Amino acid sequence: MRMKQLLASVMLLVVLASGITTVAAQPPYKSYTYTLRDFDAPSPVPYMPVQIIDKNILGVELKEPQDFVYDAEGNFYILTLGSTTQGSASIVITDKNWKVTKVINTFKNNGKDDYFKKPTGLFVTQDKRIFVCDTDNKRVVVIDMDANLLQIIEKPQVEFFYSDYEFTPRKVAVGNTGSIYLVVKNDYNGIMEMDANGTFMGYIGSNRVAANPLELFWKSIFSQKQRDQMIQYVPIEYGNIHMEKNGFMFVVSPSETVAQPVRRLNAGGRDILIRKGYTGTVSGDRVTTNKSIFVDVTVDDWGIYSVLDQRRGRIFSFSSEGDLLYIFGNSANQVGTFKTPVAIDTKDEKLYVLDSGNENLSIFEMTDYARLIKTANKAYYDGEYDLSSQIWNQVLRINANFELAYVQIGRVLLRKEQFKEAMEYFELGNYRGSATSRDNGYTKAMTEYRKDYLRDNFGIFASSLLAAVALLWLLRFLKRRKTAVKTDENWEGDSA
Amino acid sequence: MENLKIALGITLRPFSGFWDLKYEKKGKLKVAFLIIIGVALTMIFERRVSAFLFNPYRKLPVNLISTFRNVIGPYILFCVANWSVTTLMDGEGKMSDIFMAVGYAMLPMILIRIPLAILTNVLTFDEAAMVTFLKNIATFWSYFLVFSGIMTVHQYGMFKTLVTLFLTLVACGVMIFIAILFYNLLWQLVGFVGTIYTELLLRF
Repeated sequence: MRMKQLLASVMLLVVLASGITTVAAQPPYKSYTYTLRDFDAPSPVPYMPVQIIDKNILGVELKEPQDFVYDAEGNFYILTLGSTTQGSASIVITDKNWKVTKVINTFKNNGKDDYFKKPTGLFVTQDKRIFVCDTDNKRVVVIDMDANLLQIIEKPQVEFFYSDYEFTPRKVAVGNTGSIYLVVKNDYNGIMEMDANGTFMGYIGSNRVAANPLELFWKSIFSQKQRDQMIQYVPIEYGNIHMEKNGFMFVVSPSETVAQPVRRLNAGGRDILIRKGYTGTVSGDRVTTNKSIFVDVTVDDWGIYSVLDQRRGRIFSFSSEGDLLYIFGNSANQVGTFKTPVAIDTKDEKLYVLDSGNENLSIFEMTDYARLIKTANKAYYDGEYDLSSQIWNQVLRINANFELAYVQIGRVLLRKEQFKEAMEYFELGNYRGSATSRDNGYTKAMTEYRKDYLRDNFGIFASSLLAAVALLWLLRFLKRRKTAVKTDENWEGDSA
Repeated sequence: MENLKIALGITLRPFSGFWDLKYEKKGKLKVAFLIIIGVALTMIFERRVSAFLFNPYRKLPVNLISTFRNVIGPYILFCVANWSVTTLMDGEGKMSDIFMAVGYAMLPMILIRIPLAILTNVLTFDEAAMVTFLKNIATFWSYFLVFSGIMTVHQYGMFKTLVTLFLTLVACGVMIFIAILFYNLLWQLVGFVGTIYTELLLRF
């Protein structure tokens, strides 16, 4: 009996121990990509959770954090929503070792103490000015590191804004030239642009509503009442801005219906995001209902941008050309999962995700798998094609289901004019090439291969054609002679 | 060989061809069925042989049963529906005539699509329009043959043929509806009997 108990406890220990190791090796989320035919294909884990920053580590409350940024020295600024009590909404500033250096929850305004009321957006410029979207106070507050008020931006005094227009800024970003870009709640005109003094300049990135001929026709015969009942096609509302170092802006719209939820705007507001990826679109999960809702976007130094899906707690990463690289993350309460993720940022090889529901900041570190993909991408865009295809081959050794790797090797082979091999790899990657642009993919490789093949073997084709014509002619000649002989014989026979 | 010649003759000169088929008793039901099986085989051939560019599903397995079902099922359905309609509308065709006419009419599908499947292996997306065009030609040619076959076999005029074809489609719909209804009711009956059986089993 004792023996049995001992055996059982040893076995239990073994089971427990193995359980612990698998938990350590496997994060509590799945990672996958989509194939060309929109099937999800499991992939190795691209990012592992390494640290969770919450109130236990910081030593201060992190009440419903809304946004965070970091500056050049690696200091982190986390904006918390706070409760309804005055002064509970604050900016928590930490150094890079997560030691809280300052908490700003009040500032002097005309000699009086002033507070934030449900602030949602934060931005820190290079000269350390802190921009806070003080949403419920309907203003943007600009302070310095010592909480001295520098500027307050309120509803622009322009005729354009009718009196009941609510100026409720949600997110803010400042360009290199000092222009201020605002995402305003319930403002469908686009992103509000202001100059450095807070003077209204206009909107950028507004959607053009396409006029549908059929709709125009119906509108022309409908009565006013019927027209009002038609669905109002309003342009999109933006959700967040990510200002890049070079002055371009990544923007997302947290809408299920918008066709392009991720955009990259230049200073003129034109969408310059490259969507030449092998799956064609830059979008979330391939589902028909409960589509991904993108709340934030960030881009790393290699042009790989990651989009945060609040609905399922997923992070989608794309290369600068628009190729889907990997998807990971989940909605849960475990380490490395999210409840209500609100903001994402990246620094070096780390990814930071702020979770308003779990009230923490998750830090993820790149795995070797993601690092290989990153270096392969970098090599390709640096023009080191051989190196890039070598690295993609390594990626394939880890994940043989990754269509993009085959496609990328195919693209390299195409550039090196090895069309036959390129065709093989494009077929392995299921990449036929787009029928409209025809600039890469299997069809391009095949066009070139066929051209080369015909040119190289022109002699054979031409001579076999000539031979065939000659043969036909000869046959016909022989036949004719035979019939001629026959008629001769017949004629002789008749006379006999 | 003789049968092939007749079939080709119908394909090229449908009206006199179908006349011979019926009134000179040149057609054989066996040949018609062979052509229909040939169409199913063509579909499989296309899946296996035509190039990756025009056939992204080449590597996926072919389901023989569903392929045959998808070809033979509609064929039988259409013929039976057509027979039921035309019997009421003074059509001269017998059931076997209709099966023969529709069967022979499917020949262009095989004649065009098999060479096309082979040809796609040297084509790129630049020639994609041609491939679609040829496929459409095969389809419309077959449709036209069905039309002229029905017209000749039943000795109808143009307008009456169109009307019966329309009614045939309606009849197809009705038949499918009844089949589904029957299937559903049958399963409910089976379920009912099953429930009674369980009930009895548990009680006694």
